[in-house]
Amino acid sequence: MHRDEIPPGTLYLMILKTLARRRELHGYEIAKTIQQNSEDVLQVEEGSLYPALQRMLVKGWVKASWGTTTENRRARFYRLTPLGRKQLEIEQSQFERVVNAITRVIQTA
Amino acid sequence: MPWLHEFGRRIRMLFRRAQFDRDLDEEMRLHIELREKELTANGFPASEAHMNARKNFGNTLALREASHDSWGWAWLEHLAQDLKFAFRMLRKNPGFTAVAVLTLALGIGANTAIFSVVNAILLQPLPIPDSSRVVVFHEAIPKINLVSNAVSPPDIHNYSKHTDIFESTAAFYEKNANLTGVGQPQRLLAMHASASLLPLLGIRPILGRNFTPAEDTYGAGHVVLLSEALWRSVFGGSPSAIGKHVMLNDVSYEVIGVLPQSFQILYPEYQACVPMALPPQEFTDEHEGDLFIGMLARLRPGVSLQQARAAMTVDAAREVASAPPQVAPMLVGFRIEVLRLIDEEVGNIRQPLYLLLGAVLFVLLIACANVANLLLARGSTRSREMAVRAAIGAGRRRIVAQLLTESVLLSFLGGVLGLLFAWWGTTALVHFAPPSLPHTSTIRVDPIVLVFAFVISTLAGIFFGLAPVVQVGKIDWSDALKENARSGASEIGRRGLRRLLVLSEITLTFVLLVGAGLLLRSFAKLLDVNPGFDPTNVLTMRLSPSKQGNAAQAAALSRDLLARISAMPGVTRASLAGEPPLMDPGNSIFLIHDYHAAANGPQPHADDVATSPGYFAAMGIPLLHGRVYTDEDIQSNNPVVVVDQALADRFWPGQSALGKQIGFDSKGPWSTIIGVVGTVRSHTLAMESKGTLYFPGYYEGMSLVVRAASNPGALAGAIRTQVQALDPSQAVYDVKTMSERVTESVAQQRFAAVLLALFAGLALALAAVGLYGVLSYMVAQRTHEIGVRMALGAHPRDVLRLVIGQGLKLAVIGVAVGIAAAFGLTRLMASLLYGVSATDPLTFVGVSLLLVLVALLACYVPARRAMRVDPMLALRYE
Repeated sequence: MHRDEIPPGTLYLMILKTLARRRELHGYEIAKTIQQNSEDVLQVEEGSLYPALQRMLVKGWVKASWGTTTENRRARFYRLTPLGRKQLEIEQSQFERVVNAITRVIQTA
Repeated sequence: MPWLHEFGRRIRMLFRRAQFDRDLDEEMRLHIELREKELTANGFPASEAHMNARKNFGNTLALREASHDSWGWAWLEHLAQDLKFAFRMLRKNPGFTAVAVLTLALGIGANTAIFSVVNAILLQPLPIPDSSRVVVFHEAIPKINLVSNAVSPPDIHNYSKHTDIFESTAAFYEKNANLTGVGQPQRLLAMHASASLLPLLGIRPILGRNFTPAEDTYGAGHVVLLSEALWRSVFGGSPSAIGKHVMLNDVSYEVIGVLPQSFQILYPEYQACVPMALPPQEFTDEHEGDLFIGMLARLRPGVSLQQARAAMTVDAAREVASAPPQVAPMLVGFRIEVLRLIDEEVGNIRQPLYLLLGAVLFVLLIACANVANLLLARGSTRSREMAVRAAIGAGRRRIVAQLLTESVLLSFLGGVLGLLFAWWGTTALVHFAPPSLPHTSTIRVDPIVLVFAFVISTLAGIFFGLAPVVQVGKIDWSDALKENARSGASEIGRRGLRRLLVLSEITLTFVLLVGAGLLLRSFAKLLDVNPGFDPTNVLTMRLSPSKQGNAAQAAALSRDLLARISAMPGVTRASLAGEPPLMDPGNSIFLIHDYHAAANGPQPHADDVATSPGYFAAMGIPLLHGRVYTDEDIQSNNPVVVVDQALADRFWPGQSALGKQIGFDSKGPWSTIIGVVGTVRSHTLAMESKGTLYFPGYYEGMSLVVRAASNPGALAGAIRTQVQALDPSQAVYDVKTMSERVTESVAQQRFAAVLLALFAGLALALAAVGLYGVLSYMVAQRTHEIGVRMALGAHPRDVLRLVIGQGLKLAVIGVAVGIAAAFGLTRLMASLLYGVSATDPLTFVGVSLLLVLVALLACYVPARRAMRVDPMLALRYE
């Protein structure tokens, strides 16, 4: 099956959006959710999730705490903060602006 | 404040890095395991699932680093790594490290030590508030060659009228006083100050109070402020000193306060301060010139020094215009100078200090060049290491950072050791400082000096660290990786850089050597000067009689004293003189009978000294013509004087001065010149005499001049006993042999010359080591080539010539550039020289020869090594 690289800069948006729909997720769940929701078209280079998550921790968009999975394994769960919610709106509107613009360019061409 | 929270999170991460790494690892491991499990569940074979999961995840090491980078501490982690590595490198090369650190320590230490002096004396403001607004007045009368730091009492009122320019003005004069009534009688120098002086300076007594304007009026209460040191020595630092009474010249004074340290830094010569309280008649014109009054003012805020100068120029012109006709011609060109207090204090020392600072900077540059050379010598081994690092993913920037970290670390190690040197050096500098160096007590390694040491260490590290960095830019990594890559383009570039560095070292050293040579030659010339007197075996001391008697009593007492001292064993001759040479003789203007100074020419003036008859013999001043005065001349009040050759030559060139008449008033009386004695340098050894007048007579407060058979210093105690036997409360002070005074008078020149010579010597040694290093390296690099040459029949002598020729070429070019540089730079020190020109050919030639000779020596060892190259071995080694 063919998979597409995700466009640069949209990883944050997707992580934020994913976390906004669920209360808390650990890294693997985030990666899997993105993949499933994109119907397996989008391929996150799975590891790159983690530096991105760290960056978001620094920015205060997400919070992390250790807990256990349903299979009783220790995992770090990430949760959106109010700041992260605000950031999600910013990123989303920004993304839409860009996509609309690109779409217009492509259609008129 | 989101950024503050963010910063807090970053800091927390920094301190929990180990935990951070563990968490991240666990998280990533879980991820891979879960993916693997899922793949297995989807029917992948175990091994393939594992591989796939890992591959999809990516490089965990790189991801971990990227995660670290997210927190913004990458630079710190890199720095820590670089430092760790740099330490390891230095430890692995202890010889290299020791040489480099020591070289740098010498350079940084010398700079820091000299800077601590410059900082304390030139850069620190005076220890009083707003010191830049405090100015002093000097008066200059070109006609009699006089520049005086004193004004006359009437001037105080005149200058103070400029209230639009001066916020306040103050004045003081100094006077010796015998302190009695508390412990041993001692002589002190008291400052007689106007009540406005301490407030103007912003100096508050640490105990008690300042005196009031009411106390600063003639005949008012006698009050005194003591210096802290005097207060401690006399009253043991007890607050109960306030209100006690002390006797100054047999007059009772009430102690009202103790002066702070800042007063002692500004005026170390005064131990007490009393009100000036001048009698009103001092302010009339007849008394002008009786007292030497120092005058200060504080400029109003916003008033510039130029404005004050302009106002005083107008004043001076008015004073000349309104002068009485008989005085006016003398006042032509009269100036009132206004200068900042700090400039008065340090004006003369500024140039030699900056000269020394420049010299140590040169030494540091040479040290840096040497270390850069050492680093370059390691370059070829290092370039392979660099190539390996580049191959496994280090960016060029990281490699440069690594190299700079190493050199700055080296430089800091040198800086730490250098601080130790500086600490010793500063102590030694203060100890050997000439008396003319002001406020030496404030010289220390203080925080500003530490910052200076830190900054120059960093700069030095970057400076010499750039040499290998420049090379990194040129290295072809793939070339460097090859096992035996020896003489690529980078190697040739490195050789050029190394030569350039050595060339600069030789040039800098040449300039330093010329500077030191010129100062040493000046100093030697100064010591060669014939002072006009014979300083050996002469003891001098100042006396301060406590009783005020009439002239006859003073003369009788003086004769008695001289008779007693002359009778002492070991004394050849005893005499009294107003101001012996090198003890600040006075200046007087006189008239010559039937002689009229040219309208624009200088008024006759000379140093004047009153002496007892035996003075010329005691001081060893030769009689050239006529006779010297005798005690009979004094007893019969014969109007006779003796002049020196300089004065005779000036006014009666080509004829005898004997029988000529001079006086101080055109109405007479006139005194006859009965003798001409040798010219004496009475101010400093460097200053030629403008003429001296000797008067016979005995006065109070003359100094004792005693010629001994040998070892004059040993007589001091016995002479003091004789003095005090006649007058128990008489203070004896400033006891020194003439030889000591001669030494002191050239102390500043000696200080500068010795220090500069020391630095130049250091530079020479460093440059020699540098040259030696470059040539040794060249020989080692060219062993193969030399072997081939010898195998082809080259004589060892040719090899010797080859190596020495290389070194000599560098030395000669360095000297040539050095000559050009020195021509430009020594001009700046012309005013510090005595008897030699700034481009003294002898010094230039001598230094060139010395430098070439040292270069030859530095070449010789590597050249010998090259000569001994065994062609067989050299070829097989390849």
